[in-house]
Amino acid sequence: MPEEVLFATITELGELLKSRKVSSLELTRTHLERLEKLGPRYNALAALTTQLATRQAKEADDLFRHNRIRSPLQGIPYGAKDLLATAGIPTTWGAEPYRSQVFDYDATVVRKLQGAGAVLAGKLAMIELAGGGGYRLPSASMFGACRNPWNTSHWAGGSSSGSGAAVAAGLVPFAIGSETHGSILTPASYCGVTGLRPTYGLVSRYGAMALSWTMDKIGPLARSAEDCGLVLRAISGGDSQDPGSSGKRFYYLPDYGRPLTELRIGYAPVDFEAQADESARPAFRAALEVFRKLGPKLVEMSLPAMPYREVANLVILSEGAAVFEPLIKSPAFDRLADDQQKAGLRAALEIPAYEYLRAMRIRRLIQQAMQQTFLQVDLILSPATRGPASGINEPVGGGPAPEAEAENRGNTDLSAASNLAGLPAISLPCGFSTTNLPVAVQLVARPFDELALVTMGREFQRQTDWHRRRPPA
Amino acid sequence: MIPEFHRKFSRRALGRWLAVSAAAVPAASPQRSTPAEERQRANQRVQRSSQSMAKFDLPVATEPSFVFRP
Repeated sequence: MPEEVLFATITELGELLKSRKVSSLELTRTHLERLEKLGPRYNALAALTTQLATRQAKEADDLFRHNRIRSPLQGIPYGAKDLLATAGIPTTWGAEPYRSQVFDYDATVVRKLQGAGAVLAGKLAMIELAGGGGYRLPSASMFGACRNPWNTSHWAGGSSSGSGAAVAAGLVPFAIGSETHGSILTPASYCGVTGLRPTYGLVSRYGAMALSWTMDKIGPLARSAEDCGLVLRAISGGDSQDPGSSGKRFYYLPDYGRPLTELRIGYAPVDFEAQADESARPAFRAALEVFRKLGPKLVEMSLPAMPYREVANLVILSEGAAVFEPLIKSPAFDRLADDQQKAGLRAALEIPAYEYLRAMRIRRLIQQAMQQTFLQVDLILSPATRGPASGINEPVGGGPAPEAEAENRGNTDLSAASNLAGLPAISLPCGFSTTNLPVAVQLVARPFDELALVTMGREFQRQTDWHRRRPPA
Repeated sequence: MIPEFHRKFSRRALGRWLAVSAAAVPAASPQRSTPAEERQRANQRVQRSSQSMAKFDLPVATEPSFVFRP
């Protein structure tokens, strides 16, 4: 199959399938072969779902033969992060103690994608337990460190590592990931793909591993902002089985978005300069210019000083320790890969209730502060990550920039702030570092304003071609 | 995997085996800490977060965001 097809967008694939130039079965077999052959090269694959995929692809082809189209995703293969339950197929949560775990039901997201006619080609690798205890190394996964398709001596990011790597390497056209604090946007940024983190409650978490009941979100990683919008349309919606479900759904109607010239984008110049990794600054500056030329009013703004990261850490640790208490207290816990993560979860069991409550009270103020911020601007723009992917053997995160402790922190805590407030965000590839690794910017919007993200992302990607670049063969 | 040494190896096969063995050796990783040290550091991280939050001026009427609506 030509490489153009392997790296085609959902819309392009849809045209090929509808016109019967390619069948879903052909497309699926090609992606299954790529997953099997190349998945292990990147440590991106958790399990192939060959039988299921073949059946779903044949069903999709049957529908095409009868000119019946359920959705733009019909017949298109995808991969799911291995924290989503899939009936009869192992769901490991990336952690050795759960190697043999098999559920007898599908996560709502998997069920919805099946209803849309998409084809589940494989389960994708992830950081063990989505990294809730705070891991030190990319190797914090039963699948090993997930390698970046752009340079295999670098990390793919986490915790949706396999989802980022698989889309970047053309193993699947799109993937599903999850984010509690950075787990969609970081791998999307590091791997040069587009990632969308929906508003908390827009996509059902039923059947997904819980890490933080109040912060977990599920969303797509794909080839473009438009593709993310198409996937989000299929997976969003109310679900009585998810207590956090908002009951809302996303309608992808880009022509009904506000004109770009009416939008105000907030940004902090320091994010693109002193706070950014030097190797990424030229790409970030160029991206800022593209947004300026698109027409929205760019407004300088900074988040108010609040302990965003500390609150996020306390909330995730406290809730994560409650979720995994039986595991932490069992001998199987020692089979986790990352010593720092184990120590973090053990320490988290001793966080007093009042500390968690204090974090949740400050979180209330953070939510209010974000509401105030969004009275001034419609979107906030900043680098998705400070710089490109770290080395495969280097500690993750790399710590704050030297200047980060300075008075002007800009919006460097945007990831923590927006995750605590449940706000949606999109990561858009915006070029390469001077070390030839992808870098990306992120946009954050008001709750349930994913349409603004997808519309702005689509316009940015009409002016640039970073999202169409392919890693070396 | 260690080869059986009673077998005879061609130079090419030996070269291949050595290359694979070298690739299997993990690159130098940061010095390993004992579990006790890891635990102490984890406790310190939690403590630092707690101290940082304690400095934050929190109005007494602020309720936790239990009913979570973004």
